Amino acid sequence: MSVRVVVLVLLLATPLRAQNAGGGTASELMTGAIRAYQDLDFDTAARLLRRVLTPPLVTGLGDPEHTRALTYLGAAEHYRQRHDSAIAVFRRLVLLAPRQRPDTLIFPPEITRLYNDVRSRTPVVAVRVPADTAFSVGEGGRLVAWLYPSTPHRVTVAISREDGRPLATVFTGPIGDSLDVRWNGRDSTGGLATGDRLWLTVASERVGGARDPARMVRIPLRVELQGLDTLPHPPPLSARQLLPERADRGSGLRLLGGGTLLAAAAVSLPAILAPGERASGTRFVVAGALTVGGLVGYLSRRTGSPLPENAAINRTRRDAWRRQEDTVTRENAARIRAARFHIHAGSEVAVEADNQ
Amino acid sequence: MSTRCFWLTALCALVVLTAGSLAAQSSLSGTAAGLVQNFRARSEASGVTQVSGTALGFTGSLRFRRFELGVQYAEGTLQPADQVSESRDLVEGALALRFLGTPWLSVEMGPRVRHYATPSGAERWVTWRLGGRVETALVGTSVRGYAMLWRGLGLDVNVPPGSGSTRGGEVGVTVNMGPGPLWFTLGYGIDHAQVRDAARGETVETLTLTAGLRRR
Repeated sequence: MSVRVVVLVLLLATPLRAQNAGGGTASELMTGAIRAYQDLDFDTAARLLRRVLTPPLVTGLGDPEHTRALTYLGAAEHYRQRHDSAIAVFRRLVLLAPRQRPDTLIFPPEITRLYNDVRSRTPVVAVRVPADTAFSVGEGGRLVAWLYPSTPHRVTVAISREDGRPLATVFTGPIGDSLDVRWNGRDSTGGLATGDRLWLTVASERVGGARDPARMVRIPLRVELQGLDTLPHPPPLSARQLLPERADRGSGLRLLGGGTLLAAAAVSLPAILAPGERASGTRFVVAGALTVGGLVGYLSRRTGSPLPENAAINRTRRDAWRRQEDTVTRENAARIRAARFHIHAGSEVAVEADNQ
Repeated sequence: MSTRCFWLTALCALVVLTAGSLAAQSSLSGTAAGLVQNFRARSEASGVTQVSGTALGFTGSLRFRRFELGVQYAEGTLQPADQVSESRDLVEGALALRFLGTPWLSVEMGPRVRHYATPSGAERWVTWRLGGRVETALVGTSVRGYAMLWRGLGLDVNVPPGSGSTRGGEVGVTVNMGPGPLWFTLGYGIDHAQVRDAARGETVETLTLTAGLRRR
């Protein structure tokens, strides 16, 4: 029984052993490659480093190990007289870590010079954004992104929708050593950004003045706006809610009718309220004034003439509507100020412009 | 106009003008006016008595949004038509609380006290009125006509003591002088009271000319 178990274990262990014997772990290979580089065996060093930088081993590398491997590989290729390969490797290094510099205590000036030459011709930006940002709209909070360029160049930082439509341009201009840009959560019109999935895009222009973007770095943003529950605005006044401000054919007759009716009321008031009483003639003074008033109104009210009383009533209604609108606007502004943005940033994605 | 009436008019005007200055900061507005009233009363008891004369007074109002508080005061001397009966001094005051439902319709309620002073004694009529008033434009916004009808919720007379029913109304025309604060009103009013217990009735007609100021 125990013999069978031992045999089984040996059978299972054999492929693993064979696999490791073929190359070892990424760390072991790195150690071997660096030793070979130091022994000036650049072919072996390049071979081992290429294995390290190839899946599946490369997936287990951290950023520092990855950049270290690329630096040694670029130097090894240079000393192997493979100039194009060295440039390609250093270009990969710049894209991976724009701020990375070869250690001048390890690598000679010809290597750092070559690297700097490649770096100056490869404009790219590393972007650092906090994974989670929360700020209140009214307190002037911002999402802050720190940009680190490989070389001074012009960049355009923008917020765009998931489908690529631009939402707001945050920054356009040159970037030197580093730059921090801030986004207040609003689009280019000043409105609050809607749509929970947005992109922070940093486009680097080609060195030498070409305006087309050479490379882009995109960071997915999940934008949540909490506490935003605004009131609906009052519906605009309809034509039915407003009185005509110009006289029609019947408006003069209505005035005449009103004056006549009131005059009749004045004359007949004693008969209505005190029947049988002999009333004085003073009521005819008022009745006459009302009749004359109605007549003047009729004569002055031609078709198309302005109706100031209706205009005054309409003005009152419009003012009331405007006050209501202002109240809603103020309330909504207060609610918007109290709303909070929660922005979750994902991992950056580098996009070559030529590949778009 | 007597000294008392003058001071009351001045006080009313002061209150309204003060309220007018507040109106700039709130929705308070008001009016203050002086009035001249041709007063004509006909009483039927054991016989028929007619008196008439001129009264002077003031009227004013304070309005806050849709509510308005109005006061009116007038006093004068009434002469008998038969030149034999004794003359009377008239003092009349009214208070009304109005609710302006629409720009053209309002309802109001309040007491009105009419006081006759004769050498033989004082006579007082107290009426609680409830009424409605309609208003319409005649010439633009400058000339408006109005009509009002009211009914007495209660009538109380002291000489001889009794109660009864009363009703009345008023029709008139108001002229606003341009955009300024000055306005005039000419109104005809009539009310008829019937004292139930004393089998006595009285009908009063008034023609009132009012001139005043308005603060919005």
